[in-house]
Amino acid sequence: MAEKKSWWQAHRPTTRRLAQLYCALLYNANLKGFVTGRIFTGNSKAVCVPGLNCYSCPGAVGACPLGALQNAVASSGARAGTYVLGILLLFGVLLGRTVCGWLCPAGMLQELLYKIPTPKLSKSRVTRILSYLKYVILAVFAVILPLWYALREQAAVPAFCKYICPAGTLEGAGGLLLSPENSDLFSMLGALFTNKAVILLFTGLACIFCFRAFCRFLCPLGAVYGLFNRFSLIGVRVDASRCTGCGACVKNCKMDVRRVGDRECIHCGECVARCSACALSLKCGKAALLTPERAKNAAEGKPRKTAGRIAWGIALAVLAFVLVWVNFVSPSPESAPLPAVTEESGLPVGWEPGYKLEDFTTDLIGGGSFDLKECRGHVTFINLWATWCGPCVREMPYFVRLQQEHPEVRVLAVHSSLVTEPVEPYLQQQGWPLAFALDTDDGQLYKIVNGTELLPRTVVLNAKGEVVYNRPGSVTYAVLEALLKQAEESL
Amino acid sequence: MKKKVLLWIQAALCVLLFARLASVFLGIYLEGSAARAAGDVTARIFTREKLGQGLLRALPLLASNIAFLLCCLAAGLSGEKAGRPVLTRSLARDPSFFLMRPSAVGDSSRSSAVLRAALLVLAALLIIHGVFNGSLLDALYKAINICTECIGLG
Repeated sequence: MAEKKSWWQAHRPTTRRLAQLYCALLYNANLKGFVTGRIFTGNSKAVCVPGLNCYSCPGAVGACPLGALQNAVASSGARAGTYVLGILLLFGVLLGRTVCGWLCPAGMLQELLYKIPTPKLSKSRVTRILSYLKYVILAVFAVILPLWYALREQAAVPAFCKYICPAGTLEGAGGLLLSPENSDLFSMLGALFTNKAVILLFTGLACIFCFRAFCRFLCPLGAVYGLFNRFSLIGVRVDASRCTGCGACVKNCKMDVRRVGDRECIHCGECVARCSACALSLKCGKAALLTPERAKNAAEGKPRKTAGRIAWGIALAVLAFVLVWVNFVSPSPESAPLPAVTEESGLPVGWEPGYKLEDFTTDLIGGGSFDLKECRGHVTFINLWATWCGPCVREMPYFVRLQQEHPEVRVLAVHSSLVTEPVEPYLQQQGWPLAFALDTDDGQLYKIVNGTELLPRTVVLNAKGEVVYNRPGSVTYAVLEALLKQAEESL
Repeated sequence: MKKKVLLWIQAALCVLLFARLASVFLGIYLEGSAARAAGDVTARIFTREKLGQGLLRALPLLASNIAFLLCCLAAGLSGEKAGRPVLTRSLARDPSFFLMRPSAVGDSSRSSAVLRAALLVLAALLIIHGVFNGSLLDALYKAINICTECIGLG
């Protein structure tokens, strides 16, 4: 007779769940970011994490490999994105879809949603066919569209992030909007946000009824790792001498696998415990990570062996170090200067509407200089942009049109101090007849207008030099005209 | 039978909650776009207050979802059929769908190990090349700056 398990034994988290939770915390160790609403800007962000984790999430301390891949494709005109390709190849060959099963926070969220007791959708030929959809999404949204935008408009558009990625909506947009410090972000929400919020909700709902619906049908990162599954270093192996061919492994697997270890297998190891012939094991090369015996011990709640405890001890020490380093030791990005009062003009100086913007002088790209003082008597538009920011590049023609149709208006476009390709040749190629400046290395111009990591940003000053508008987000020509009218009427 | 009914009730509650949330987002968007169409092109479509009020309206459904979920969990209810295959009956009857030849499962052959080693060397070379050609800095710059459109903010 089977021994009755206690509630804790029946519900305690598995090693895999703990690993997923650990990764979610490690990838998002910048906990203070959720309070301040600012993203982490340390050098660790050059390193891609293996799982799907939006790098615009205030907690993220690493880069998302999928976002980095799309941006590498988009900038392939300037240089080959060999770094990201190398990283994906490395993760693929070492881990394959073990990443999906063990190291992906998005995978964990999907599995938790699936735990809600409702009728579940069984796997079928239809789900198997749908599992090819993620390859189509990989090709179209992660490669073809970014490349097309890069070649046609010289703009970086990570199409999967922009139009689909529910992880980006939840972690990036959701994480930033939650902070009271980012109230002005609400001003830019519109059709795109509504579309992505509905996709997020639909994906969440699908995950309740269908095991890992996003992972199985939509995730391009899983598609990439799936290509390496057959020969990845870590994977589920079959002892052919023991296998009876009963098929219990594939029939009980919730992913759309046709054989153990194929492109859909996420190496979760559930089949290892199910195999009555003890023919399966999760291996790293020749070393066994999960054997039938260990899987049964874990299912029965027996304590872990010493090696496992040591590994968890080291992992927790690493997590503690990262948490302390990121939240307490690593320097935070400087906050924007607080508005101060100047006696000279009687107007308070600052970047918020109603304040007078601090005067500055800057050299222009291609010669000449721009002095804000000389713009008194004219409505002035200051646009913060960068060549690597797709929306910034796409809205620039609106500023050109504004300048052409209203020659009395002053327009200055300030490129971020972060330069990925030479700005002057880029501007010569584009031929935009505007005044362009490059921010100083310490970001002095951006600081004056409260420019943060959010691009693009538009600042409008009236003829007295007072700020009438200062918000991040894309604008259209109609918006620019409305802002011009608003600035003229504010006198 | 009773279990099935409970599962379907939970499913209906989930669908209702998600539909309610979707209608909140769509409702705010349509209302805001109408204001913009009326001439105020800089009008805010979403505000913290509007979103808060909308989510507040979905709160009763969320609460009933959670309450019902807790009841189901306390009763030991699970949507999965323990010990039964998770595939449709037609698929279960079709052995040809699954490829269970042991020789084709899990590849630890020498050729596979050589391919793996070659790809690892290639990956290392690509990463080193990326460090020197600037694509590492590209990845960093993209990750430490927020492109508002790219995360769906607009």
